Amino acid sequence: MSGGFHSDWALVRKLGVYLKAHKGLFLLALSLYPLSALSVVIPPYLIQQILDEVIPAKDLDLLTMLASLYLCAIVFDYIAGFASQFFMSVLGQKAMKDLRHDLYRHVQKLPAAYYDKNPLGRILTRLTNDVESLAEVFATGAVTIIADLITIVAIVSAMLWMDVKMAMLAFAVLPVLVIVTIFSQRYARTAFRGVRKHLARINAFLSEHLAGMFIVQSFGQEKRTYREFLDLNIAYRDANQGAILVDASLFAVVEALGTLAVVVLLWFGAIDLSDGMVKAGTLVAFIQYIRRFFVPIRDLSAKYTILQSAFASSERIFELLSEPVVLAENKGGLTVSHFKNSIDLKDIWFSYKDEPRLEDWVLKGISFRLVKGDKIALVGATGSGKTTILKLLNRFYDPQKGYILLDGQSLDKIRLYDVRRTFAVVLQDVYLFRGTVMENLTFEGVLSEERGLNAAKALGVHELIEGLPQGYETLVKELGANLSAGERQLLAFARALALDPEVLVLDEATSNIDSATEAKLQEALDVLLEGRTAIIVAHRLSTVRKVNCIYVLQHGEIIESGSHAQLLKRGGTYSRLAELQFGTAA
Amino acid sequence: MERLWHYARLHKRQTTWGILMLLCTNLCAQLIPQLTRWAIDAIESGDSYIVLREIAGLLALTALGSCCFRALSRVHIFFAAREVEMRLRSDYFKHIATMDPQFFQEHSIGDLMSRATNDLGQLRLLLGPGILNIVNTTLAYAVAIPLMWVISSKLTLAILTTYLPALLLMRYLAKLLYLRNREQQAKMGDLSAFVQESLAGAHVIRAFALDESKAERFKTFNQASYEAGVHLAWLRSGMFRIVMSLSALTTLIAVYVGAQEVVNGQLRLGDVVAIIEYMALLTWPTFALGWVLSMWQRGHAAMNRLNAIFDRQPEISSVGDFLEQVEPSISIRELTVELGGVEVLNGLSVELREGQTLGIVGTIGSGKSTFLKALMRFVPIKENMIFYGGHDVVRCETRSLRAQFGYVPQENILFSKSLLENVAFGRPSVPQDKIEEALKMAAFDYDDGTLPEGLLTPVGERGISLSGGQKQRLSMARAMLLDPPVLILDDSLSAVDSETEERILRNLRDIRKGKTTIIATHRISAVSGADEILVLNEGKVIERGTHVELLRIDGLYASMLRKQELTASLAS
Repeated sequence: MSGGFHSDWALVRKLGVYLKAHKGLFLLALSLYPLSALSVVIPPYLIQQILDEVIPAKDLDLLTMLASLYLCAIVFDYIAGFASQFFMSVLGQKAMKDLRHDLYRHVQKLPAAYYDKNPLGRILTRLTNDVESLAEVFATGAVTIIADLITIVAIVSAMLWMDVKMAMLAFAVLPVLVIVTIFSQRYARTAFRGVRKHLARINAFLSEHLAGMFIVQSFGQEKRTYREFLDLNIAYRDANQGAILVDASLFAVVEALGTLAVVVLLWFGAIDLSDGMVKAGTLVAFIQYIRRFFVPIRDLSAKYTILQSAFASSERIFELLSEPVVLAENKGGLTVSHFKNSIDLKDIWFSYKDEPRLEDWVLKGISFRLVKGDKIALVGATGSGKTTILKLLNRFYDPQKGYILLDGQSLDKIRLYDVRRTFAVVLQDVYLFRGTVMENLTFEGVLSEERGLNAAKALGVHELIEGLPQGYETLVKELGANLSAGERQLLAFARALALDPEVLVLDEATSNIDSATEAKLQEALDVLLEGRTAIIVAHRLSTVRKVNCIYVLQHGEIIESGSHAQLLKRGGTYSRLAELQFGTAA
Repeated sequence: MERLWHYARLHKRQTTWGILMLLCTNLCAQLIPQLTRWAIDAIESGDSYIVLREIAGLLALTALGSCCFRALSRVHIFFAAREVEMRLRSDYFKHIATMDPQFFQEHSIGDLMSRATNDLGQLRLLLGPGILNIVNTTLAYAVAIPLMWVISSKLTLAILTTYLPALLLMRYLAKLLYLRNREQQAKMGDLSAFVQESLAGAHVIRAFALDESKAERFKTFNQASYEAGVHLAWLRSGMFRIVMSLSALTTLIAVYVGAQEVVNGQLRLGDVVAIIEYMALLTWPTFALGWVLSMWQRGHAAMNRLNAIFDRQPEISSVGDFLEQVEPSISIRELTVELGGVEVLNGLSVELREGQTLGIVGTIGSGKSTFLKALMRFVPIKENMIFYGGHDVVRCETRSLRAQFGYVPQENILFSKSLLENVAFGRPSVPQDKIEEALKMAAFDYDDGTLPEGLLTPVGERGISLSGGQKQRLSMARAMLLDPPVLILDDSLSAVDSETEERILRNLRDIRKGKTTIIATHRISAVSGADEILVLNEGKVIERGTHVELLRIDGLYASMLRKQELTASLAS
C-alpha cells in the first residue's frame, strides 16, 4: 500500500477515531454479515434436498416445507444484505461528515501564510474528493471485503460438509482463477492508469486550446492543432482498447472457468455419479455454489484497489489535519471588551518569507501611535507596505520583530476573536458573500436586519438597494451587472457601519469611480468616520484632508508624517505623490 | 441521433463481426444447460461413467468456445465504440476551431469541455454496452425461449412473467440511481462551492471574526450532503439485491413447480435442472437490458447538446480572396464597431503605409484591443471599412489575412509545452538558431538559471512556471519569429521593467526597419518613436500626431506622460 504497514496502521487508527463515535452501527452491520452469508449458503442445499430426497420419495408436503424455507432464505438474504450494506454506508457517511467538519474547522484556523503557499483548489480537493473516495470504501470496497471473505468461507464449508471429494474437485480450478485474476489485475491496473493519463492529457489540451483558440486562429495553426488533438485521441483510444482487451479476456475466462469447474466435477466424479455414490441433486447444488463464490473471488482484487486509493486519500487528509495552526486561538488569551486609549506600533519588522534576507522585509521598523478618536492615513506608492500594516493589525500575520499594542497589551496576548471584533476592515477589493444583499449587511444573520437597514439608510445606500430588481433580497451574484465598483464599496461601507466597530480599517478603492458615486462615497465616509478611530490607506484628497495625521511610506519605512498642508509645504515625496494620486499641484 | 449513426456506420464491419460473435457466444453458452440436462438424465438412468465423461468433454469444448467468442464479441463492439468516440471528439474540436470569438463568449470553456467528456461519454455507453446488451439480450432470448419451450411451456411462461417486470423494474431503478447520483453530486457541488467561497473570502471572514457563523452554515451544507449520501445508499444497498432476489425467486418457482411435475411423471429431473440453468443464463442479459434502456433518453439529450455545437456556423465567414504577396498597407475608413449593442469604436480613420509604425495610446476600455482585433477580423465589421493592400478585409479569406499579421496579445496565452515549442508555435519546423534569435530580440534570457532545461524547459499550464515578464517576452518572440508583414503589439510590455522595454524597443526598430508595426499601449515610452500616434478615449480618436506634436497639444497624451515620469521617479 501507500506507505508501508506501519503508516497504514497509523492511518487506520486515526480513521478509527471517526468510526468509534458510531460503534453501535458498525457492530450492527458487522453482525449481519454471517447471517447474510448463511442465507447465501442455504438455497443450493435446499435444491439438493428437493432433487435427491423429495422427488424419489414423492413427498409433496416436504417439498412445500423446503420451498417455504427457500423463500425465507431469499427474504432473509435480502433483508440482511440490504441492512448490512445500508448501515455500513450510513456509517461511512456519518464518519465522513464528521471528518469534513473537522477539516473545515481546521482549515479556518490555518494561518494566512498557508493560504499564500497552497492553491485553493488543493485544499478544496481534500475536503471534497478525498473525503468522497474514503466514503466509497464504506459504500462498496473495504468493508464488503470482510463480507465477501465470510461468504466465501461459508460456501467452502458447506461444500466440504456436503461432499468432501466433490468439494475438492470443485476447488481444483480455484488456483487458476486466483492466478488469472492476479495477473490480469496487474495488467488492468497499468491499462487503466494509461487510460486515465491519456484522458487527463485530452482534458488539459482541450481546456488550454479552447481558452487559447484566439491565438491558434491568429497564428493560423488550426490544422496542426487539430492533428495534435487527433493524436491525443488516437493514443487515448489505443489505451482504452488495451484495457478492453484485458477486461474482456478476464470476463470471458472467469465465465469459462466456472463451466470448467463443472467439467472437472463431471469427469473425475463420473464414477461416483454413475454408481449413485453422489446423487444428481448434489451435482446441481455444487453447480450453484460454484457460481456463487466465483464472483466474490473475482472482485476481491478490484476492491483491494479501491482500498489503496482510499488510503492515499486519507493520508492526504490527515496531512492537512496535522498542518500546524500557528495563530491558534490562544486559549488563555486576555478578554478585551472595549478599546480604551490607544494603539501603538513599536518598531514593526515584517516579511512574508520565513527567513527574510535584507531585501525581503516589507516593513522595516514601523512605529506610530493612534489615540482613540483619531484618524490617520497611510499613503505611499504601490508596494510600500501600506496594506501589510492593515493585515498585521487584524492579526492575519504576526510581525517578526516589534509589537502591536492595544491599550498596552500585545495583540498576540489577546483573544483572536476580540482583536478581530475591535477592528472592522474594509478592503479595496470588496468581497461580498454569496446570498442576498441583506445577508451581506447582517453578516448572514449575525446582526439584526434592523441594524443592516439602519446602516444602509445612514449611508444613503438605501435608495440604491431599493432600486435593485429584488431590493434587499437581490442575490449578490446578480449584482455584477447592476452595481459599479464604487457602489460595491458603498455596500461594504454600510456593512462596516452595521457592525459598528471601535476601529475602522479602510483600504480606499483606487479604481475610477464616477463623480456621482464619488460624492456619495465621500458623504458615506463622513458618516462612517464620525466619532470613530480609523486607519485609512488613502487614495483621495478629500480623505487625507479629514485625518489628523498622514504617514508617508516608502519601501517599508515611514519617511514623512504630518498633516496634508504641512507635508505639502515640505515639498518632499508626499507632494509628488499628492500630485500623482490626488492631482493637486505641489 | 442521425449524426451518431453516421459515425457508427463507419465502423459497421467491426460491429457486424461483434454481433456475429455474440450469436456464436449464445449458441455455445446455451448448449451448457442441454449438456447439464443430459448429464443429469444419464446419472438418473444409471448410464456408464463413460457417458458422463463424454458429456464433460463436450462441456469443456463449449466453455472454450463461448470463452473465445465472448471475448471477441466484446472486443469488436467496444473497439468500434471507442473509434466512434475518437472521431467524434476530434471532429468536435476541429469544428470549434472554426468558430469566432462571439461563440466563445456564448459558451464557457467548462460547458464546451463537459460536452466533449460527459456527453460524448454517454454516447459511447450507448454504442458500446448499449449495442452489446441490446443485441445480446435479444439473441439470448431468441435462442433460449424455443429450447425452454420444448422442455416445458408452463415453466417458460412462469419465468417470462417474472423476468419481464424485473426488466422494467431494473430500468426504473437504473434511472433512479442516475438521478440520485446526480442529486448527491449536486449537493457535493454546493458544499464544494461553499468551501471554495469561504477559502476565497477567508480574509473577510477572519477580518470580521465570522468563523463561527460560517461554520454553522457549513454544517447545513455538510448535513445536506450527508442526507443525499444516505438517500443514495438506500438505493445502492437495495437495488441490485432486489434484482438478485427476484432471480432467486424464479429459481424457486422453477424448482417447486418442476419438482411437482417430476413427481407426476410429466418432466424428468434433467429437464428441471436445464430450466434452472437457462434462467441463470438469462438473468444478467435481462437486467443489463433494463440498464441500457434507462440510458437511452440520456444519450439522446447528449447527442442534442453536441449537435447544437456541430450545427453552429461561425458568424465571420472565412471564405474570400486569398491574400498572397500583397503590399502591407492598411487603410481604415470611418471604422465603427458595435459589440453587444455597445459602440466600442466610432469613426476611426487612419492610413498606414509599408514600413510605418503606428502607435495607439489609451486607457483600459478605450477600444485599443478591439481596433487590433478588427484588423485581423476577430470582430464582426461591415464592408468598406478596413482595406489591406487595397483589399476589403471582409472579402478576404480569413486565414490568409491573419497570416499577414504577427500578433502579441495583451493576455499571454501559452501552451503547456516547452519554451521552444511555444516560440515556434506559428512556425513549427523552423531551425533552432532562428528561435534563439527571436528570443534574443525579445530580450528573453533563457540562460539566466531560472529555466533548468533551457529552451526545452516546459512552461507549465498556461505558462505558469514563467514570470509575467517572461511570458510577455515569450509571446513577443513567438510573433517576431514569423517576421510578419505587420507586427502588432497589444499592450505587450506592461510587465517588463523599463530597461528591458528599452532594449526590446531598440531591437524592434532594428528588425522592423522597412516593415509595418502597430503598437498599442498605455505606456507612452513604447510609442514615442512612432510615425503617427492615435490617442483613443471611449472609442474615439481624441488626439493624433507624432510624439512632438502631441506634447505641443498638451492634452491627455502629455498628461499621461507626465504621470508616468512621476511614477518612475517615485519608484526609484
